[in-house]
Amino acid sequence: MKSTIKFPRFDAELDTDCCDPYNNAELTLTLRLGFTQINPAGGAAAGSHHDYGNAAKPTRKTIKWTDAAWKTWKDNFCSTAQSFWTGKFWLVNDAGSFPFVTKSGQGYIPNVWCRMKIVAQDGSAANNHHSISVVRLDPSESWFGSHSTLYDSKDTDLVQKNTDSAGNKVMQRAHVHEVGHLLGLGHVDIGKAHCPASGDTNASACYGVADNDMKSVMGSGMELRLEHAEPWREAIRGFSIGEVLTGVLAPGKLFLPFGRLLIGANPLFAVWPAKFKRHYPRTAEEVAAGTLITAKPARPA
Amino acid sequence: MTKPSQRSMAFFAAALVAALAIWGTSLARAEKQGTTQNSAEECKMDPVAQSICVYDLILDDIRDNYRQRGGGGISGIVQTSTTGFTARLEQEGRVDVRSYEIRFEADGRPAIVSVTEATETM
Repeated sequence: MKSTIKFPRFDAELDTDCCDPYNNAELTLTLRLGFTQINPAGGAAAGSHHDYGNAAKPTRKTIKWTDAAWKTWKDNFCSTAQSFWTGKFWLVNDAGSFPFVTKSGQGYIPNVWCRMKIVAQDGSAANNHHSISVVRLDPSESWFGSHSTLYDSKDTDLVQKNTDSAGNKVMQRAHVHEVGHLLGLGHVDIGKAHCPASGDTNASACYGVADNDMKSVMGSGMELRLEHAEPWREAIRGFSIGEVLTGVLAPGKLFLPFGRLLIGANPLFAVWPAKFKRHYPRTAEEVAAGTLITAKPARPA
Repeated sequence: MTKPSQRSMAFFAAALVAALAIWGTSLARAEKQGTTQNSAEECKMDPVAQSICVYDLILDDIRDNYRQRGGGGISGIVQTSTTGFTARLEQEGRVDVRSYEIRFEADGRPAIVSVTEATETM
């Protein structure tokens, strides 16, 4: 079964049709991004644009988008950001949700593989989750002051963002960091003393002070962390609780939700811990025993 | 056999060579590191010279202590009061603003009293 929940920041689709003794359910978050070109004024081939779109800031030289350059940039943005984020996490099903029974009569509880899809649309489309304007920098320009809704054509490049304590460059491709924000993730050090959640969480210290933190993709680097699975965890809780509600509304299906209590699982309090490694579907007994299966197990046909 | 006066001359010459070598090495190191340490004489010459010393001091601090070396670089250093200055560094989505409080020593040389950093989200 495929079901969808629409969140403000993305659509989430849960596919349980792919479940079998070796394959988990797949949860795909889809971001529909509406891109709009920013071109030099008056149809000119070249012009300039202020950093951050703020007339008080320095100008950078820009050039007009061509159809080919626009398509290439959007394709590159979507494919590289998508490949960075998709398929990296598995959520361990401690809710007992989405159980299925194979033809042999063996029941399993799938885990969830986290996937992500970016769809580039026209900026005027009504169903965009996010709208982003993009300037095309002149080749002589190396930097432009972009922000959450104003990007530049070089935001997909790998550039230095910080320097660790040993003097090594910490590099990042800005667009993968920005997609993290579009998914709802904040900066790596939010909540620490030097970056209180009640303050400006865009302060430089929020991008990571310790070497390990600044290397996070939600700091100044390119490293994924398990906490970055939070958007998928948020979505799967919605599906899991929705399944319980469906059971309440259709008493004939109550057995499955309440049956979970027998194996110690409770969708309302499930954590759905994230892992970087594939975890195979489990039987109810394996879930009850807390067994995690990361090597391909022998299963009845 | 050398006379005592000749030995003194030889010792003096050796000491002179060593001193010159040490001085030369110091000069080379200073040039390599691009240090901008200004003498008190320069700093108290006139207001412009003193300002140059202040700006050099701020640039030295940014070079040594500001680690977020990407972005658009320094977009401005502005005097906000007699002893207050702010340096603005452009980054993606924000401008880091480093505020300096400067003290002038009796000989005219500036010293940093405090540095605070704030962010303007763009």
